[in-house]
Amino acid sequence: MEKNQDFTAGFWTRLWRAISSWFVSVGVAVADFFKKLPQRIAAFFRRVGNACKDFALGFVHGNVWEKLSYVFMGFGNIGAGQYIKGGIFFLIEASFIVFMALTGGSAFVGFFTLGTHAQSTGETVDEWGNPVVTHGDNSLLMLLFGVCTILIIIAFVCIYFSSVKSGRKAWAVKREGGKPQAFRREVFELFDKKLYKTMLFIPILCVLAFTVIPLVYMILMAFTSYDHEHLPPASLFDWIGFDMFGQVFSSAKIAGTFFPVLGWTLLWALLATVMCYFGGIFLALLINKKGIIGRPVFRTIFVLTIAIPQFITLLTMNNFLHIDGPLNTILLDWGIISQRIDFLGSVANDALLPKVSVLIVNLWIGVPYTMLITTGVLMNIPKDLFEAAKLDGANPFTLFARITLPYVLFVTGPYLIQQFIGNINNFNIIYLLTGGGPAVPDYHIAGKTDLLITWLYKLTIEQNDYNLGAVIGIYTFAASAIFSLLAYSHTSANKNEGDFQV
Amino acid sequence: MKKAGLKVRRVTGNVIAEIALIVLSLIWLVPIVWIILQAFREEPGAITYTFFPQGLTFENFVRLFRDTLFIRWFGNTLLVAVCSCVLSTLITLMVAYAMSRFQFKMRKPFMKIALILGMFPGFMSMVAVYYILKAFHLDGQLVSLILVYSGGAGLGFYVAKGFFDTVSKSLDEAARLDGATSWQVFWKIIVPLSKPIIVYTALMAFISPWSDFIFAKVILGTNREQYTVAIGLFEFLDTTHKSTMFTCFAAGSILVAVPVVLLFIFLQRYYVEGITGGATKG
Repeated sequence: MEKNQDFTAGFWTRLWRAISSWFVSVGVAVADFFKKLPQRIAAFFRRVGNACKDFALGFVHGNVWEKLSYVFMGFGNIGAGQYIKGGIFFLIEASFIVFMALTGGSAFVGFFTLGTHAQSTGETVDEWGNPVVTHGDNSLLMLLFGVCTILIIIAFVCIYFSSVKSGRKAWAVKREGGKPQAFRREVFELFDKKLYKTMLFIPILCVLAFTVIPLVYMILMAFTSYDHEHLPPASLFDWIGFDMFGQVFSSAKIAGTFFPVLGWTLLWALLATVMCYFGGIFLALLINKKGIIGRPVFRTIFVLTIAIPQFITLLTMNNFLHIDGPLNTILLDWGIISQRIDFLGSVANDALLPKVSVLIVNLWIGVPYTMLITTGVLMNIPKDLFEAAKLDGANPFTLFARITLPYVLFVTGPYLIQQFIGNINNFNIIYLLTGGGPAVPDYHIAGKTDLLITWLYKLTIEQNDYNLGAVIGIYTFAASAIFSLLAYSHTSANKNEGDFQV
Repeated sequence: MKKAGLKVRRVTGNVIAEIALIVLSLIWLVPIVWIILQAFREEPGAITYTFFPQGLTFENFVRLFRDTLFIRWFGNTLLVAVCSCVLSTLITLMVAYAMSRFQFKMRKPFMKIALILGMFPGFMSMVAVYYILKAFHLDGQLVSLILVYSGGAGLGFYVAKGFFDTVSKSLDEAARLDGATSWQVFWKIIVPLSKPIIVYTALMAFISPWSDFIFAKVILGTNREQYTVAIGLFEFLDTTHKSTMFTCFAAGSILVAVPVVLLFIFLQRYYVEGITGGATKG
């Protein structure tokens, strides 16, 4: 009951309260983090210390097989009768040693040197006197293989500790007079109580291969000199530390692009999200109004734009809004305008027109999406809230501002955050619609509607300035990560209340 | 008197709303109608000064099939879509089930890491993915596209996990009392009960290859035989082809859009359930 009253309180009061409590919770969370930090660090070292002690004591107190397992993985299990499991551990160790001896060792060293021999031409000549290209080291591949090797080493260390632990566990069972689990039984467990291990194994491998390794790789690139002047395999690149991170702020040209682009990215994300959101709620209210005729037809028309693949709608829009395109023709024919308007390329007023056009096209694409989502939410609003408010003489606007909007905001809060992040990284709409243009000379390879993400694309794929691109990517990530972690922790604090509402 | 006044107000309100809806749907339809008209346009060129074409023809479709690799691209995309749909659905469901039904040490950290990894701009890793695939000589192959599309599925388990959380655990326990293993519980109880979320996951995975072109372009490079429809059609619009191929682009777009739209409209209900489920449960 109390919560219901809170829920119908004035919209602005609620909004204000939400914003202030958000800041308070952020403050508390940050303070909490730092307050607990010494404890956490202490706890971490205590855990590491205990593990080391345990590890050493296990060796001292263990029998021959257990002692052997510290050098030859799996011998603890073999000695206790778990031949297959022990054998697998031993095979893993053997293949790791072979791998390190054959390729891993040099790959590991290569990670630090990133290549010592550059490709050279003309040192030797072939039989007709033409210079021969001597292949040098490829820094790019060396970095990649280095990252992979380091991951393999980490994985091996984990397996090593678990093999020692597993051998000791088997012996502990044996000492108490029991029989260590048979291999068949362990496999069976992997499909029952430990099914999560089986189920997560392949997905985690995929995530490692296609997300984690590439990300680590790209992040590391930010610390190298990998740009259009250092392109493997023709030349080497090397570690340069934090230089690039500073350059984004110190180099006039890059800073003069970074900050305006960042500003436009944030403004775009905010406007695009808010406009689509309110537009969608408005459309949903309109479509679900009592007594509307032809509701399914309208719904289908709007859903069409979600269903058509985005590259089609965006490229269509690009042509539709072209200076010689049909929209200009229609407007001219109707006499609304007297000369053709360059919707997507005008640079006047800080490229205001292209920016507005992009926002409006985004509205065209995004509004049906929100409409679809909020329709269900709108149906769920308890009717008695409206009845009670109507009895008190509330007009439709009050009803909307004090009941509908707060309710919808409440339920779709996380969705709103997702949309905001999605818009910060909304590559398609900018790239396909304006290509980031109109390009201006005072920007470093960017146009007025470029977002950080499209600028990143231009810097890497088109300009080969991978280190700068990686730095921009890290900053973009930092912006969205900080925002959403804070926002999520805030919504999760309200989770119980949220459950109550649904 | 008062009642009649209210009724009049409601009717006028509805008339206004109806008019607004008609105007809005016209605005929404104009670009779609325009691209359809372009597909049947007789006169060549990228840009015409009239909204309606001067003459209608099927020639654009004929050219699309005869002179370009469109059919091949369509087949490629279908193959990639079906494979990555099956793989990603499996991966997503398994991760979601593990996260929803098991308590283990790495559970919380894994969920947080997944959340953070999802925030990196997707193609920041793209270049690296390309070099990894190249190291295995998989660049320019459709297989690598399938791998990349389904490889990320392990991180998108939140929606499905939220759904599994709502499936009562007492069902699991009852089955387990009858001697079922977790593996059997998953296939015989959870999966049959999760039709909406399975359809949603599969639909999302099926649709994305039809519209993604950034990853596809980087991975497939210049191997035109292996292109998907998105990059293939995009190619029609570069500066050298645009004047002759624009109408073909429109024709191809319609052929791509029709099946996807039908699928989408047919399965709309699951789509809404999926996203709102994900939104409300975070």
